[in-house]
Amino acid sequence: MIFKGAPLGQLEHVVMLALTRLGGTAYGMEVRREIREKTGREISIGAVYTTLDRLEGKGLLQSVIGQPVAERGGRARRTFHVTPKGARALRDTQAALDSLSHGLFPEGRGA
Amino acid sequence: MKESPPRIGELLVRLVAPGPDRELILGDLLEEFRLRCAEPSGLAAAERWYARQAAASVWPLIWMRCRRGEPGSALICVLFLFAGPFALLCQFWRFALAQVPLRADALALEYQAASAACVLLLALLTGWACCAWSREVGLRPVFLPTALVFSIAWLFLPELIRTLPELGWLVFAGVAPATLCGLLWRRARSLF
Repeated sequence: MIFKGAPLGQLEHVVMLALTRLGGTAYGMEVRREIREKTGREISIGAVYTTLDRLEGKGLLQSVIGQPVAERGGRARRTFHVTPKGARALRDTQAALDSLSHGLFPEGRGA
Repeated sequence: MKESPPRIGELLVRLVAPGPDRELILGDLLEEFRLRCAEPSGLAAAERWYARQAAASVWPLIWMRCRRGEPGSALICVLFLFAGPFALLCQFWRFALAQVPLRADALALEYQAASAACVLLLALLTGWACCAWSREVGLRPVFLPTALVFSIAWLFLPELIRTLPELGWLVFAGVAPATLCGLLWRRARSLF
């Protein structure tokens, strides 16, 4: 497996996976919550937004600003969704990692 | 009545977040804060969570500003957030140093021992302060390296310090921010 473009960084990879798990569309705090629930990793909202911003800059995500919401003090949400290019980058990165770790952790061992 | 998030945390995010995203990030934080207020752990835990999130978001958001081509405003944030507290810290060390008998001419053993004890104590306090600050901004604690650097600097430079007291002050004032900047830089590299 060879990367065609720049591979995703570790945090970028985690954020892309979380976003994909959430159906490909989510806002910053949802992504953060998903990462915490699935990995136990506490990431600051600033780091999540910085990563999302960078991914959007690479064309792997697109964002839309919604309507103001009362529970947020009348503030809007910025919803991100994965672009086809993003989905491809995620698939490539995941495939490369799977290929790298293939055979390292045989099932039933170390459990 | 709806609970309000900690004012300082909110101000911190307001100060460092880039303009277009400021309200969006504050909205996200407020939404989660209110959800946490409704949990059994209650308001105090939600406030702690908010403060931690705000503090840990400082560096990534400043970095985001730089990436968006706003280095000027990012620099102002850095100066305000880091130089301000360190200037206060320097004033404190200046006062603390005046209490250290290191510059006394006496060569008696008790003066030397007292100086060494004071230096060690100051180094430990500085290390602790750096550790607490680095934890707040989401970095690894730097207690031991900082304390070590301070101790070495002070134990090996007494002659220079006696000749030029400002040098000692500069060493004290400079090592903590230098250590912190180094760590921030390393953190930035590991993040991106």
